Amino acid sequence: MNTSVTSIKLVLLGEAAVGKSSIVLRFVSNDFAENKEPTIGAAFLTQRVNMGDHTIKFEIWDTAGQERFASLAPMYYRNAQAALVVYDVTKPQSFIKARHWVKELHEQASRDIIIALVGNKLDIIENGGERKVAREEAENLAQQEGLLFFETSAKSGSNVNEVFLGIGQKISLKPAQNAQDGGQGSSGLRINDDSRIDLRAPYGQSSAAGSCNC
Amino acid sequence: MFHTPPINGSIMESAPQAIRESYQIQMGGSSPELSNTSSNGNVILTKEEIASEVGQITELPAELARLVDNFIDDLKQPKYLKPLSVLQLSSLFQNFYMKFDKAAFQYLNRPQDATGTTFLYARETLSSGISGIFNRSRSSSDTARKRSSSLFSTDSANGPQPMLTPDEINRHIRINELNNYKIDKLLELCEHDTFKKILAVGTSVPGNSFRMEKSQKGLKATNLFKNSPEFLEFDRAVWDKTLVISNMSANGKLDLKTFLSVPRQNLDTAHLMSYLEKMVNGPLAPYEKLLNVINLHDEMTRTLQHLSNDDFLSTLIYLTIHTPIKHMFLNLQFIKFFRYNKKLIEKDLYALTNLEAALTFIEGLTLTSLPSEVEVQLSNDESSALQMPISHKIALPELHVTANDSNQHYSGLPRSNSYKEFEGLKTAFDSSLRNIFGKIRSYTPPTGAQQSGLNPDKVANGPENLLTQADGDTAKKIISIPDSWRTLGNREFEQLKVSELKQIFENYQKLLDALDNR
Repeated sequence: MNTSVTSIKLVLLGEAAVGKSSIVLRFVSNDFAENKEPTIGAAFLTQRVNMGDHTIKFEIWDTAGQERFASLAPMYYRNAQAALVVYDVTKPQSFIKARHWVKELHEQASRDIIIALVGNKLDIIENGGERKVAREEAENLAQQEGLLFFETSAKSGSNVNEVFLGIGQKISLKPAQNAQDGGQGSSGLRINDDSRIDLRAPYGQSSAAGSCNC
Repeated sequence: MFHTPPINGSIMESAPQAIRESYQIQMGGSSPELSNTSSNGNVILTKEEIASEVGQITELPAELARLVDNFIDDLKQPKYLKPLSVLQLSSLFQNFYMKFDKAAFQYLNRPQDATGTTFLYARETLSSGISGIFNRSRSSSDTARKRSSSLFSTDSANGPQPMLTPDEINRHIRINELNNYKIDKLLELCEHDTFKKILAVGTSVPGNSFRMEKSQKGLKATNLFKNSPEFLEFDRAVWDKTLVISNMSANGKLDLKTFLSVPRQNLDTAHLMSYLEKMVNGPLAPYEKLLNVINLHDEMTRTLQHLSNDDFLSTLIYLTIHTPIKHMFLNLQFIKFFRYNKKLIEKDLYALTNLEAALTFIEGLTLTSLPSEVEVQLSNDESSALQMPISHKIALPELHVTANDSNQHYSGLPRSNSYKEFEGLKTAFDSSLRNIFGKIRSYTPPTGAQQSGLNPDKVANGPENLLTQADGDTAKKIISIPDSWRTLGNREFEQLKVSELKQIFENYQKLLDALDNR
């Protein structure tokens, strides 16, 4: 029996039209909207994932990808525990932008944010289109920056669920690590007993779990 | 090198099963998903059940209503030396919400007659005693409206205990979940009643203390910012800038839709903006204001069929400029400050963040952001309004609200643990001095050649001599003031060090002794 639900704020970053929302729609409603109106908006969605005896509830925040809105992004990734940095494997410019997002997240986002680098639109290549971002290049970036890395197709659904499960798995590993560190890892990340990961917990502050709150 | 860690095969095999559909359009604003599933997948509460149970709560029970009354009374007490800033007010409100939240939890979990709670409460108390109560998690991080119970806790100190049957566990979970919804409803009523009472009874207090607004009839969110002029100034600047851009668009100098890349579709701007109009000019309670923001979010999602925030945000900015509404910035800040921050989460927070982002975009617009052909058409006034971002001209104190954290942290302001003490000391010190002034003023010095003039205002600055008169004795005692007392006389209070405050306090005690012994 699952005994706990952990809420994860996940923010989507990436250039406009790389397929951020399509990935989320595929994940949440197994839908893909090409040349048709989507059945639901994808600006804010939630999805629960069962991970063994643990349930993770993803709260997915979409951001506007246009360059002119880039300075507003911190308002969205503030306190996020996970981020998907999406690029289009057929658009090198979108990969350059993805690099910028990764750098910015490392500099300004929550300290232990889990970042997944996602190369989307794999279906175009599978259908004979030209790949413009080498997989190795993206893998290198992921390795250097400590990111999860996936190539996906929101259109076919390929590898989409795996992105979120990968994040969920990494999140799920945190409590175990923290437990070994005496309830709070060196990262300062702790899992609250009743659901929410608190990346803002200061060092040296013991977990509130089990304490009387009355 | 591929860096993605290997993913557990079993998890991947069960991926389709692992992902459980949970998306629902949350039309009820901050209301949580209106159907709940137990963690083991069994539906334990239906939408109808929740609506029926929560719908029965239409007003606060007397016990909780009293808390609201007490809070309002407390606000009206003349215990603050200076009018409170909006940040300080916000802190008071958040602390009150937290107390109310806890009181509501205790109220709902108290043993009651003829409900299932009694049995479970007794059983739990019997089985886990005090430790069970303490194990009951109410760590407020749950933001997500869940309060775990001590059902699965163990209490080894008490030895083996009778296990609850699955039926009892389900009943308990069900009651807990229902109580969570009820608490949310009670908190909404609490916000509503608190601001309704502020409207009704007013907040002005005698003396120079806490004042919000004397005339309560037209009390608006903006009134709470009266003691925080930087917010008012910022709001005015945002309004001015919005008007300038709006006029540029109306005059054809700027094609707003093209500039913002707003999807070409028919927008019912009047209808959509009516939500924000209600947000600004409608009911005062923060939750009710927020509900309008959420409704706008839902309406845009539903009618405009925007797939992503790429379109959503640009449309929201367009609407905000197209139909400017005065004091939108202050009202948004009001929601951030006065909505119970533990409940300002998920979609509620997202919708509010979008609106905040729209206003931030507008305040940050400068000439360089605009297409070059626009710049040459602008008048001097328009150019000057777009010289620099407003945030570069007016600095706002930052408020860090964390949904998990029961406390708010204000950067740019002294920390609560020092500031409040500081304020407390200042208040105590000043009040006491005022008492002394009162005594001195009431003293009528006898006429005579030896009489020295006494300027009460000089006392605080270290008077040369302090005249006192012994009871029944016309002889005057002259208390000499040491030079060391003078050194701090011309300093601003805010510049004083703790050691200097201590020195002043000691002097003050000596003054009191002198007065008492006269």
